[in-house]
Amino acid sequence: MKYWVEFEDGGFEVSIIDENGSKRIFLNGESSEVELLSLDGKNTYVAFVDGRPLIFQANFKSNGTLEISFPDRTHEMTIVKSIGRSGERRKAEQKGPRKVKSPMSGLIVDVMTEIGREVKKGEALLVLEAMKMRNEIKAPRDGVVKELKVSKGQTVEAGAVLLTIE
Amino acid sequence: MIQRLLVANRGEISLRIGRTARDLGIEYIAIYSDADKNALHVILSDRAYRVGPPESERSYLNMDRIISIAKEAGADAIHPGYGFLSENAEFAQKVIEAGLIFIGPPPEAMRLMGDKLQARKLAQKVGVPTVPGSKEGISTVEEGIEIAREIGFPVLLKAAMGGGGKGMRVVREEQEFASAFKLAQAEALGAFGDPTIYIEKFIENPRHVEMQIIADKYGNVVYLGERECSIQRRHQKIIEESPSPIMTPEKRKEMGEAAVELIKAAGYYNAGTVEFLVDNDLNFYFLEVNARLQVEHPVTEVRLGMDLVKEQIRVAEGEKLSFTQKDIEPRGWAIEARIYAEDPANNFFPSPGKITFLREPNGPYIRVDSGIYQGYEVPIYYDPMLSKLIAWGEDREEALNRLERALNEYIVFGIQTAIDFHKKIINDERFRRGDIHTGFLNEFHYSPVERKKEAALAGSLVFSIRSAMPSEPKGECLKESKWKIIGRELALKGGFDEILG
Repeated sequence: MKYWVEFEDGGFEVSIIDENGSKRIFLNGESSEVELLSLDGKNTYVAFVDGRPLIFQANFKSNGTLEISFPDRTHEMTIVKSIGRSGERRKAEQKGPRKVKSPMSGLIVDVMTEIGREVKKGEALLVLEAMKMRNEIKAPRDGVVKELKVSKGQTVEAGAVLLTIE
Repeated sequence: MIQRLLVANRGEISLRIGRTARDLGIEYIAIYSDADKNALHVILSDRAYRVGPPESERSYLNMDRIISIAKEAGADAIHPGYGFLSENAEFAQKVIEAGLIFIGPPPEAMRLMGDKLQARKLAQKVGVPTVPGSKEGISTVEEGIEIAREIGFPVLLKAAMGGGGKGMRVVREEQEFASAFKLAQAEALGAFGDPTIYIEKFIENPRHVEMQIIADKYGNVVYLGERECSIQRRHQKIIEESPSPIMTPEKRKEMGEAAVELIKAAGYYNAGTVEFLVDNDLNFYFLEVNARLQVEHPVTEVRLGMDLVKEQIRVAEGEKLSFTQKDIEPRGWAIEARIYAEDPANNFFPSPGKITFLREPNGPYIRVDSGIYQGYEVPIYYDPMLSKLIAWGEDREEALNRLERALNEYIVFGIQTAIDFHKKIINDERFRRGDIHTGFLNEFHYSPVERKKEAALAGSLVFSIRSAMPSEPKGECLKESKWKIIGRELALKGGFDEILG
């Protein structure tokens, strides 16, 4: 079976072939014998790639993407079954307004900006308190604040959009 | 003799103290907030009592409530751990007035040392060098700026009642002063209940070296060797080792004796740590006394074969120290990595959440003081430290290699941790040479390695078995019945019994 694995900035074509009970995977012109085992009966796995163990966790997200986490790093991807040689490639997301998301859940203790304000990259916009630490949320790039979705005293979840810079 | 000990703390340190208590035949009483009901320290206690809602102010900082629990539980002693009420003299006083033993220094000495300004004055009096700075606390921005100008920028704002980096800010330029001062005040008030801030000259790139001491109630004070704690982020230590790579036997003696002088002058007993800044010429300046058991105390323990909590309990029971200075002969090298729930690739933002998979390291000369387990949800209310990993070796290289081996065995899924960050640090060339200072991490560039190819491989494998079994629920890719087969396969692979164990 062939798959197209799409990351934010490009992708890989992957083929998996069953041969007499074992699996062989083709990726980037290399082939390896692979075996996949679950470690917790759920979504933590070890893949033996030519005998070398690779431990990871897989999470299917509600938006249809798949997150693969290694102990040091998480990669998000979209996987589709390939039909034909070139596969079903999808365009990476268009560049547009930049949403500033909360890196974690916590409490907004200060708002230093407002809608329509011009901001410089690195400028402190909000103060988020979590786990007893106050953290400044800074502008990821130059622009104008288009949306401001939070106010002082508000509790926010990790990943919640705090504001949009255009 | 203490029969029943209440630990007025949470997480790994509550459990660590509880373990020693049990080793000594003392019952371990834990307390928990509503956010900690199923925390590891609670599960493994002899008995646990609810102390209040999640907010620290209403739980782990609620003195009267904690003391009344101790009475109700029939405890005869309280150990405060570190953080929370550990350096609160009022709490120590209240514990004693309630007829209980406080396992820590006497309230008077705590009060003196807890006020960083008073401690500085005492150090100056007994001839221990100190960093230039304000004589008193600063109450207004204007006053602060004036003093900062006098001693010259950059300056360091510090909470008078502080510790652990909270309420601490470096101010490099005058225009940053006002906002930094307000943030520091707010943090100090939140963390210590006192917004007093004072100013010190910020010494660029010093080392942070501290001396562990233990003292009994009869004036016997012994120093137990130094710990090098220069690897810090946000003024919070993350790697500690002993000995310090720069220390000479002569300097150690000098620093140890200075620490002993100060401790004696303060009328201090029980365990404590005297912190120093050390410059490139090995001059040391007194920073502060931490009137408590330190997070990094295991580094000293493994070199000495000593249980510091046991010594604390003995001292609190009124026993004399069973050793003198000449009996103290630390062995080899020890190093500790603090494992935080945070994302080092994203400005060390805390990363609370559920630990969906966990394997902690083990093996020769490895110690893990941990407060977590698989399935545990790391709460958002408290310090994000999950555990401490301590490695011992005959020399620094062996200790570092062993630490790296153990970090490679440490597998946590569900939350972000600093495990990989630690691996990168201990493999840094400058770190390996021992060329470190407190600004080390500011200059250290970390970015986790891209592993897209491996991720694509892993992803497509999981995707292939998932699409082959459409009836399975999301994320449940293998049926229960396959588990035995997997177990046998794993066992046959060899070396993976640890994963199943």
